Amino acid sequence: MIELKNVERSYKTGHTETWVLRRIALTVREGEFVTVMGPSGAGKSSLLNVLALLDDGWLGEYWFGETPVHTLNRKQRADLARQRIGMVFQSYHLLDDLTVAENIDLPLSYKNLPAKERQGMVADILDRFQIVAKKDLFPSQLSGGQQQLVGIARAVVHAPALLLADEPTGNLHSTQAREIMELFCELNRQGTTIVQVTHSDENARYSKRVVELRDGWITRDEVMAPNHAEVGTK
Amino acid sequence: MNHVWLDIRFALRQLRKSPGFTLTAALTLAFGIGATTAIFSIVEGVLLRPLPFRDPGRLVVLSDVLAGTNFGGNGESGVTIPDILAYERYTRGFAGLGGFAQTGYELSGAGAPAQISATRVTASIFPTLGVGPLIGHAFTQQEDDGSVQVAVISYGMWRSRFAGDTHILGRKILLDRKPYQIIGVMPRSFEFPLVPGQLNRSQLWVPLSPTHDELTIGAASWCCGTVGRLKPGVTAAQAQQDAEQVAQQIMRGYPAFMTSLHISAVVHSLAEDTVAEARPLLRTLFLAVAVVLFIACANLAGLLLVRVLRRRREIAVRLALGSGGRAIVRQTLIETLALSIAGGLLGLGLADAALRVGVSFLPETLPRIDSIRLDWRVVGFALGAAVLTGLLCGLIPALAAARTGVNETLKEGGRTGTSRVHARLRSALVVTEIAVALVLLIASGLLLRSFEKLREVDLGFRTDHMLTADYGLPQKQYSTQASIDAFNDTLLGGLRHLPGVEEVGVTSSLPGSGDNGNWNSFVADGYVPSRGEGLSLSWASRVMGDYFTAAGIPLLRGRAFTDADNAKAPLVCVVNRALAQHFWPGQDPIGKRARWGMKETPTPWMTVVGEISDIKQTGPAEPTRYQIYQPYSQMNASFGSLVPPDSLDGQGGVMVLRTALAPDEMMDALRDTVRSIDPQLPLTHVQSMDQAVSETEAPRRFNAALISSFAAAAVLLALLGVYSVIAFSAAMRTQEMAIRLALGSPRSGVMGMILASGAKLGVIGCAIGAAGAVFATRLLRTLLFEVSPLDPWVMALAAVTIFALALAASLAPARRAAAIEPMEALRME
Repeated sequence: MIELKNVERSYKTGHTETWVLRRIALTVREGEFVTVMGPSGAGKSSLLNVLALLDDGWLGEYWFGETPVHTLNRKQRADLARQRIGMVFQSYHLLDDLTVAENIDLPLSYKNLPAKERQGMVADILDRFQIVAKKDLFPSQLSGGQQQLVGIARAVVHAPALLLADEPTGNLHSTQAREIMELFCELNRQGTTIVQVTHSDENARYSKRVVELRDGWITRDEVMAPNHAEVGTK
Repeated sequence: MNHVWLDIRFALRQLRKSPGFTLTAALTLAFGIGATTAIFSIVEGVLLRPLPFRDPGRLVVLSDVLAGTNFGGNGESGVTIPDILAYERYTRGFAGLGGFAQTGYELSGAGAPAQISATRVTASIFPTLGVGPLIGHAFTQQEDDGSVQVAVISYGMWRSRFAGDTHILGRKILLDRKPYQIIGVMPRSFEFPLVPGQLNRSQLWVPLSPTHDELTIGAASWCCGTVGRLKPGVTAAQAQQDAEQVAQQIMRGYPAFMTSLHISAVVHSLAEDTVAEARPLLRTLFLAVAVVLFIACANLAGLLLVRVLRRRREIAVRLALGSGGRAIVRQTLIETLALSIAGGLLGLGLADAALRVGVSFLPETLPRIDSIRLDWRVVGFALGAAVLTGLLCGLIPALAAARTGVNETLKEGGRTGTSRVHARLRSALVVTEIAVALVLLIASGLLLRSFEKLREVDLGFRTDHMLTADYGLPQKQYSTQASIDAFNDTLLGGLRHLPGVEEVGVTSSLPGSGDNGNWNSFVADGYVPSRGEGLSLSWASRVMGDYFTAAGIPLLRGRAFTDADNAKAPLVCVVNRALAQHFWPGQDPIGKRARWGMKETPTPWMTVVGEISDIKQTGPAEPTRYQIYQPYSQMNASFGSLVPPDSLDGQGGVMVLRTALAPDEMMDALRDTVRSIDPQLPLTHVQSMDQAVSETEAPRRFNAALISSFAAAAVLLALLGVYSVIAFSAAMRTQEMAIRLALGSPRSGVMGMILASGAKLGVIGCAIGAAGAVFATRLLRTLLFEVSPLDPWVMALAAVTIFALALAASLAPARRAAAIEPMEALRME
């Protein structure tokens, strides 16, 4: 589904150039649940931003299915991301002035879907995530776990092929984190490809494969034993 | 006290730390306070400062109102010379009463000959006004009665013509080439009568000393004014009742030819009389400048609010460490006051500079221009305005600062964020700015449209290629009709032969130049006035040479005057179309007759020999009046026995030349021709007709220009306000925009959102402004010409302009927001 070939990313600070991704070669197949790990500054979030098409400044080749992303212009990349990718943030990034339902509707509103259809999709996801009762609340009226639940609902409401999550449980306590990871497993079982960035070994165990980065280089790429369902039932 | 001192030091340090903010804030205030102070100094000098006379509150004007006449203005006719003497003698309500008549003289014998403005006054004027000469003495009743040729000169003339010579008393000057002895110099502040503008201000005063003719036939000439001092305890209304009895007495003494005239007396305050016409303009100017100051304040308040937001963490730390809300308010206010006082002092400097440059540009319709200066009252106003604006601008931000939530601010760790209350407050300020700027823009639009309409008025004659010049023959040298005729014949002949001159004429009053003092009542043969119809008044003009062709006035029927229409020939006249149509509707006016006076006045008939099209005699904004033209040479004969047989005519007027060349190129040739006939004769107002008409437009041009510049300033400041609010709120919404972009929003969508915020402010501001304009523009009614205060085109154009500019001001922040890199913005979070 995703193939990165020799992808590199650097930032210029003054006269020096800092490399955050070095010759990344990575293939993610459809239906995989991949965890990207590594210490702070290893390039995890940078890799995720490249995958999310939020970053344009990288070099190399990026294939999304049959589409050569590296040949697309900014607008085409934005269109592709809008159609195929969902994003979950560590800080949830819900809009304070919108209700739960309105926040979930946000990515749909950028797709020119008829309002009726959007309402149906939002209602479905609210029901699936069991947050119908909270649909009219504002983010400030929710707990951290509930906010992240809404964040994930918003990320998957348009049924993306790829779900990217940047430290999705970083701001949550362990019980809430477990619930979120179980939700990810469930989405993965239903066919969503997931790439998450995390520091947590516990969270990594829910995935099928772990990729480790250090100083921008991939230092490990390991398929996990199929025990995540077991972990999920702990 | 120690706290206050610490706060002042802290405030100054804070202001030094952010020089950009300090400079912007201080200059914004300096601009607002400077403009307000400059206009206040005009309002103070013209409207508020007491008149330069002793106990001016008791000074009044006594005037006749002539029934059935409409001369425009306040409806008063002034007084006649016999009236002055009657009111002086028989009224009981005045401690003093004097009369005056404005006039002009050729001054010689003291530097270059010049035409000057002067006033003939009764000896009682100076004691009535309570002002005596700085040097010498004023003339006595005996000197007035005895027609002694003495003069009291103005301070300005003493300094400019006589270099402040302290031995000036007793020196002789020539007025119309008659010797007058200078007996006094008035103080610098003395100005009488208090006429609008600077050009017609009296430079000297001579005794009224009425002539025999003025005392007899002058009974029908309302050419003068009076000023009186009320006796202690007597009100203006009581004085008016008293004067009314004298008016009745005057009417009983009217000669037979005036028995159908009815006058009544009015008495009102001299101060009010002086400033009444200037008041609407000054009130409008002051409101306009107050709007600019308000917008400047609103911008400053917006800037201060942003500053408070940026300093939330510091304020939260202070509050957490035990500072009270009052201390925070005090510290914030001290900072604002420091800014506003700096702005006030700068503004005072700006106002001083503006006044030095600007006073010479003030319109001729404004009285007491000499009183306009920066005095302690104006300085006090500027500093008071600075402190007040500082308090007003600073209070809301200070209160907002005091209400900073300690817990959430510190938890945010200094993250920039904005509360809904703050955002609404800033939006409300900007909406108000847009609304008041729109009101001012509409006002400016209305005045500009008026001005445009005024310029579109068809004056009825051709102003291009027309050169004009005033002249007046001094009586001493031109004492016989033969000498006057000889001068005029030579003049017309000489001018006609100048290369580039096509036609030459002379008129007693130039059309379209604002001259409004030449009304005569007349009787049209065969016309029966309807019941209650007043006197028939016409604009009376005497002409010489080929005046109508020279002035480009089309002749509709009949003929113009010829040399054969002389003093001995049958009396003839030319009338305008409005007169012909009103008095002889549907008939050919040629051959009809008209005569001066009322039905009982024994004046001879004049036969109408020509009809001209209607022309704007008194100015483009005035309605077309009835007009009767007659040859100079027949004027005295047309008044029959009312004019003594030895009276002279043709002693002066306005030369009118139709030229093939540009009028400016002909001026020297004109002067040379006059000099060749009489080297001493001064010419005044040598100018093209376009210039003469333009001068009458000057007050309106001044109003439109000043209000428009205030409107431009207001719009600019309001746009700065829109820009700052949108830019700040866009900056505060960086995270939101990044999330939207990350979730797939197109960049154009983000741009649209920011533009929509600007548009929302614009729409609300315009709606409120348009509603406000419905009420505010009524104040302008007297300054408009053929434009409704609710002119829909002006209102729509102004609203669309402001809205478009508000959108334009939002464009830069919108483009910035759309260019956010979501990855970077979210990482910063």
